[in-house]
Amino acid sequence: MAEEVGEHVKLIELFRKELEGRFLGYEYDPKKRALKLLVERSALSNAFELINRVSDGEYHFTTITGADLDGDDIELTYFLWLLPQRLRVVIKASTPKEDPRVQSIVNVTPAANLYEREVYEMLGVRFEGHPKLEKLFLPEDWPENVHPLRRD
Amino acid sequence: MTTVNVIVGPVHPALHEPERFVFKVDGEVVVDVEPRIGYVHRGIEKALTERTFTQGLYLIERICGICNVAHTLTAVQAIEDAFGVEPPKRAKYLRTVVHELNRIHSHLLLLGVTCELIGFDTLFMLIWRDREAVMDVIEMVTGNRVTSAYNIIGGVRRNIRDHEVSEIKKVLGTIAERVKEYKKVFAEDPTIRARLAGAGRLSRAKALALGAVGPTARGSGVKVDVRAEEPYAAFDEVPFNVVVYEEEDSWARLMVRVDETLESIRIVEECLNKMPSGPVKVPIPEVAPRSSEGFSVIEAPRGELIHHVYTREGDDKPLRYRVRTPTYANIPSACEMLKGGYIADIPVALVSLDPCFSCTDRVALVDVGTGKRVSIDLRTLARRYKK
Repeated sequence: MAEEVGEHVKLIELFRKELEGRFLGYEYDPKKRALKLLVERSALSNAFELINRVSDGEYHFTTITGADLDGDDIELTYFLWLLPQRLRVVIKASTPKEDPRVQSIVNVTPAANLYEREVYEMLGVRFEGHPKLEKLFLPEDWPENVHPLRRD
Repeated sequence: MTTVNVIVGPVHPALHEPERFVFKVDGEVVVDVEPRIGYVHRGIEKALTERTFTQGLYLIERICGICNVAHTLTAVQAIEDAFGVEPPKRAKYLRTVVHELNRIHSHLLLLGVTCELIGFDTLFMLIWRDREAVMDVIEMVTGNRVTSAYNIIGGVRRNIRDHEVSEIKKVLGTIAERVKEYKKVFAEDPTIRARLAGAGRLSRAKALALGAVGPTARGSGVKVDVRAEEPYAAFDEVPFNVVVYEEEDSWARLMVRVDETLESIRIVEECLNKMPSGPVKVPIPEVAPRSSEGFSVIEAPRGELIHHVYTREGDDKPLRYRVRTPTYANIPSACEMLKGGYIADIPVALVSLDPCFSCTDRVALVDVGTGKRVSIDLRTLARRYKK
């Protein structure tokens, strides 16, 4: 167990060192062995480069949840599983509803492709640098700028 | 050279996720694949925020008929995580039993469907006969064959009785013997091997990069199984083997399921033997006791399934509910495994993902040059290339 405890500490230190002020905090749940990392939206792409580096590409990208929680922001939650570390990592970032833009991570993590498209159509978050940011589930004649999971 | 687009779908009854694929083909070889999903997007995530937690469970188990237990299990675990509720130990064991029975019937279903698709109807009949026995056992334990609402927040709906335990053991004992026989057939029959081996190749690197889950990932040598990595329910106390095949093709993905069926039978037997006594449910608050979020990841029959829920203190409905199902995660991998293969391999490769085909699948062949459009159903396409 001691070794496993070390893995999440190492990751926190790496994030703190590399992202500096753009790393906003963390939370570790020892029961679920899940590490939650909060980052600035401008640091998302860097965060995934770090994940790529520590796991040597051996990580499974689970999904992205986008949530409009009645505030001024849209919260994005990225779930991953690091194979060598055997660690559940949850990366969180948020973007203001006024200007919902974040960096796409598809160039680092191809598995995020469809999930970014889903968050885009459901909540209107634009993923900059996505190769093909189009609708995924909604019908072709669905009006532009209507995002079904937005509260406003 | 004439380029032809082959359109599979859109009424492509994969579980709850029908897909349409447009295949760009050069002669018999698939060059590129473009998926288009969402034809029966039902807005369940939105609907769940308009129902109470308990009402929502009945909708959640209808996300997918086949792995309904996987969905309710993930949902109750996610909500318990948000509420800070711990179910009793006996409930965890019972959840594991029903969850694995669900996996056994689901895997048998897929193995049967594959046999039928490749023209081995006898084996299809035999396997589905055995699946029916599992369905009867599920009905006996939960009260219904399919949507049984067995898992509830805080535990399970009903207890198991002694005669049911012995009945499950008897049925599973017979099925284990038969699955061992089927394993021999799948592993050694030259026709099955000739049809499945090498079809729908998915390299380990691609499976990992594209986020493949479940038997699709494990058939490509990726050792991920949520039950082993992040044990939930009773999996921290019940040992089992993670089945991994290195062949990276349709055959490997099926063999993973054959072996997993045997593992699941062992897990159920182990759970029944070690079943702790005590209550099967704890009382739960009607409204969210705190503003929180919870998530639960489990290994559904088709792979990693995640539910993510946000709650607000005093609210009886979730603030946001998110579900990511395994077939959704496997779509990029499906596209990858079809590239470079033959049109004839499309049905075999797709079925090896276990997206639950039904007889209404339709395929349209469009000749881009002349605009001519030919529609045939997927079964006819499969039949054309049988043997």
